[in-house]
Amino acid sequence: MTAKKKARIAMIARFLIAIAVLVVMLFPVYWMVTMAFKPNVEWTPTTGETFWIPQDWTTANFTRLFGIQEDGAASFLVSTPIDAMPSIWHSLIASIGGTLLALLAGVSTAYGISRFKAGGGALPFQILQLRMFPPIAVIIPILFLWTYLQLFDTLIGLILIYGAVTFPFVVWLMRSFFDEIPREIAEAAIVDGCTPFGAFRRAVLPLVRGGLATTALFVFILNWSDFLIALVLTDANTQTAPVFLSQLRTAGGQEFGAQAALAVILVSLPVLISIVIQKHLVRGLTFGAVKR
Amino acid sequence: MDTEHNDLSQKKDKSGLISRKSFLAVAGATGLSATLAACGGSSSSSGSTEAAATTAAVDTSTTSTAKMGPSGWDGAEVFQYTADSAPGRAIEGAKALKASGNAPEVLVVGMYPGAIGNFTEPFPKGAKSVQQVWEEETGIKIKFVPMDAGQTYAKNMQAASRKDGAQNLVVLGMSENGDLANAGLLLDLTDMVDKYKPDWNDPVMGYVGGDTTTKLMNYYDGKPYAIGVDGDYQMWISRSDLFEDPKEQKDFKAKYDYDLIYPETWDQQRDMAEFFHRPDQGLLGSTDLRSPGWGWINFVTRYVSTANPAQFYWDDQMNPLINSPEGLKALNHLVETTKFGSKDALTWIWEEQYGNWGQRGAAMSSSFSNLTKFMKPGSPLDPKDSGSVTHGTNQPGWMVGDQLVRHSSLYFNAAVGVNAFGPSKYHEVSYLFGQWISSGQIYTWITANPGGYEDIVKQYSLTNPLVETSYTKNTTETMGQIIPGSCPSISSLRGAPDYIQSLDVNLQKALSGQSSPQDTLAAIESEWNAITDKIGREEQARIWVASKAGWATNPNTSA
Amino acid sequence: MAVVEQTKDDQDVAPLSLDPQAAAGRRLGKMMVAPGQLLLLLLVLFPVIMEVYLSLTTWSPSGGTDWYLAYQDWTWFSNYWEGITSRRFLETILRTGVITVAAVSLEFVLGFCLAVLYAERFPLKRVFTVFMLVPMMVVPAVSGFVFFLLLQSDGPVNSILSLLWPGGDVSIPWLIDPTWALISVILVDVWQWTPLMFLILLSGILAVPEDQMNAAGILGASWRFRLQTLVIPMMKPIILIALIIRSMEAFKLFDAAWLLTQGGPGEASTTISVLLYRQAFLSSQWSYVAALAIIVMVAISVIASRAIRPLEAGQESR
Repeated sequence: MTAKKKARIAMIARFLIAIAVLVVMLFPVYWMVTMAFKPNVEWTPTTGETFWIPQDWTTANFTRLFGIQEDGAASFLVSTPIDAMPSIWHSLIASIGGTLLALLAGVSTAYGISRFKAGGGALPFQILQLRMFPPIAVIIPILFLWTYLQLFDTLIGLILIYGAVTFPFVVWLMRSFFDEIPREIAEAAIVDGCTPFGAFRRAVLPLVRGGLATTALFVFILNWSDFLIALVLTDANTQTAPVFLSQLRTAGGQEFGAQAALAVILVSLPVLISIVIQKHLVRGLTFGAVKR
Repeated sequence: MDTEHNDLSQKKDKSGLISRKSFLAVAGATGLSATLAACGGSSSSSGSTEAAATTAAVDTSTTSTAKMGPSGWDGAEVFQYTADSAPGRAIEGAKALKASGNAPEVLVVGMYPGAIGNFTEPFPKGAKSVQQVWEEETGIKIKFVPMDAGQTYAKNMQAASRKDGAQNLVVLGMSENGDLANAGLLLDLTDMVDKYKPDWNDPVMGYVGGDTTTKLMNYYDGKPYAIGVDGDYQMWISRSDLFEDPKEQKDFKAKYDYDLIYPETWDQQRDMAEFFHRPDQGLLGSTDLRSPGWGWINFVTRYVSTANPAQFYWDDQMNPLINSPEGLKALNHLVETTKFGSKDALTWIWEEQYGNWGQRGAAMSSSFSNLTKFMKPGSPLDPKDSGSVTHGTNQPGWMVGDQLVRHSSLYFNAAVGVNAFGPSKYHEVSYLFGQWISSGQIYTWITANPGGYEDIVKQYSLTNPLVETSYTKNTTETMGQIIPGSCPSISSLRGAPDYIQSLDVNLQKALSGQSSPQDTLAAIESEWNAITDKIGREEQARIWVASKAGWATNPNTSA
Repeated sequence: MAVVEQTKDDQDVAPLSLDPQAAAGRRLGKMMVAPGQLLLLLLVLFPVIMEVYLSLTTWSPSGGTDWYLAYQDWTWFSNYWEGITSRRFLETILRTGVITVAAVSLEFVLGFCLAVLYAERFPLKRVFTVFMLVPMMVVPAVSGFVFFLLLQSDGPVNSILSLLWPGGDVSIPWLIDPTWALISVILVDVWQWTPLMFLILLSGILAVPEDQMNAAGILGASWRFRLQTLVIPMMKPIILIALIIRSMEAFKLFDAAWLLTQGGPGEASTTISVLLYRQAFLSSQWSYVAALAIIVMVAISVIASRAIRPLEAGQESR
């Protein structure tokens, strides 16, 4: 066999293995997506039958999420119309806001540490320590603090806390990207007449665009998926989508269909974002350890 | 079958009007009745005179003969009331408070998502919703805040620690009342109960089982802190098509040497579960639940009937009685009969159980009474018309000496409480909403509504035609037997959630084979003692003894 | 001769000089880390202080007093003592450690294999890469209930396994047997986070300079040899960070354990977070929880600081 043919076969083999792995990995996602389109009878537990493919495709679960009630299809009991829109909205604002906050504070801190070793040698580890506390324990003091600051059940409050808890990831990730950029680049910019901050903004920052995109995506996913913080720090006014999802219940039980529908909606946003930034994704996460 | 309240209910017909006339005939509209009405109050257990007195007093005032309550369909009259009744007093009181500026524009009420429908969905056709009737009669709007049942304890406790008054009325499960009262969230309702006289102990309108049930549902440490608006009593259900089938009866008799009847003892239940356990034919013997959070009640139902009149959890000095031959008997039975259920018994919650029952997949089970509400022809939960072959009875029991002791029990059980941290001038009107929805007339209307899972708990509901249609006649009769003879699960006690968690987690270990029944009971005993000591043994013992007022004294109300 | 200027927070600045540019840089540096330090102060310092305070008392909200009056229930270290001597707590820590090690190792191995697979071309690779990341984008609360449905004894997973297994009827008690419950929890975590490992490790592999790889190839080195001697040594720091961060997060695992089995059966899959949840949310033992949380945090701190040393050493040499 020629080398070319060998390479070809190897490529096909990789393709097939990749497909197999993808199928296994995405099977739960497949289950979730199909459940979103199943009528009540097909997702109710213990009807004895497993429906691999929805027999009676319906969009009733989706419409149920937005107030439209189709009796029998989505839920069999007369139940109050619900509206997922406010909670999705709150999630969006809180996640985007929290991500921006984390990025602002984190990028700034990361550069400070990377370029100037500011804050002392212990700062990076201290930042990491923020994530060492079991969240269930930490949330109670935060609850009191937030109540005192009148941030309980407010979007600002959520944005602040989301920014704070994902800030360590931004610092650690962005620091490594900044570490990859040779000092000379910033120094050259200063020689050309920039202030140190100008050097940062004009010369260095554009170079870490890719890493920034990946970090932003990762942080966004964490905030978007948060359940515990929102559960404790919000009430009726700023309920977020994951909390709303967990409470989708009628008298007839947990509404798996509607939950799956909302889950599909929720997962599509990060997926969309990653498609948009896909070319940056893989180049991203070397943590600066590998020298180019 | 209780004959006590039958002579009154027999006088009822669909419209209910005739029954009122017979009351008047019985009591006589005299000054005596009026006096009794004035000083009677809701805690009187002296039978018919109280009810008669309130309706007798109706005649003496012109405005108070006006009928309030739902309307708009044939048969609505049964749910109507005049000003001189518990719901009527609530409405009049609320109106007065609104006029004097002591009511908010919107009353914020926490409620389980699965129960909100009971209040907001119009039922039956042509009717307004419960919420609408209140809003129209008082001019006070209601806003329901969905509170996930699994999260109410945490949310309420967090609200208490933050002194959060956002909700005027909070919703809680029965095990939470002790902790929440101590945390200061629940307002002591004694004064308002005295002032507005709810119908909780009324023989016609009150809780089934009268004062015992009132104490069980509403009282902690001898004072009312919450208003029970649910009836999560566990009903034993059996398949009439199997139990009344001559061939099955013949085969059973041949194998076990006694007649096949609806099980009255746990030993019989065990035999019958074994007999009917035919998984290859798609039939499970007995699917009473065994999962975390849901299954522990089935230990309780086996435990409380191991002594006459009942087996308590602690003695009067707060020493656990669970690590005992009685406890062992109950636990052994629980563990042994698990194999007659689903292989997934340890993960099945009520949705799986109901789904399976609807497929005619089990011979027996133990469930809330709302199962019969959901098993109706045409319902997706009941594709094989299991509803028509569901026969409800009291829980099986044990022979204690010569006496058959049968007790059901209950858990979860929604109640509403007045949020002490809400604006104090709104406390009273909040309470009145609670009095109104828990009244015989309104709660019966609420429980008949298939839009939510609030269950039967009031006497008036037992003979209400709408309730009978929503549930079944068998269910209403059975609940009438079960409720007066029930024992509470762990509630009206500080730290109740802790005791329950300890019981639940350890039961799971026994059920999954990780711990022997003997070791399990010893572990529970030691954990319970630790909990008690942390709270304070003497105080806890005092409160425990007070809570025994909610325990049935009759060993067998199904006799 | 330059006068050496040393201030407390500048002690690590590499060029010690009076150069005004460097001074301006240091000023900027201080300003840039200021918001982060403020965040730390607010959101780490206060909670930690409050938790320490509570942990030294037996205060509980069910007592009805305000939290700042907790000193009335002062108890010194009895909560800590109770925790350290509690079999339940110690077993839970051990169990969580086992889950963490198992899950992270699996994620690492699988992630690495996948990264190697994706290092070379094949059709649709870009698309596949995006899809490979989807599991980590699913809200953990959702993956919890989806796997709950999938892992029922007569659920889809067992059905599929029955098809593949010679001899038919597979009925693994995923959620019911104590050991399988533990495996299920690990499984869900591996499913959710292998994509992250995959992404990180793939970046690492791809970041190895192309020319070095090619040169080695021309010299006759096999792929595996190149991997061993070139790629992996270069990736050591990444591997270390990925393992540390992922381990820290896995140790706090909650959603899968709670939603699949509520930490059961019994306590078979109870992680530290599940235990704390029971004590803080289904009970109101907030001061005991505070003590346990501090013990956990100190433990993780110690382990993490050890693990991070080689990294920091690498940083210093820049």
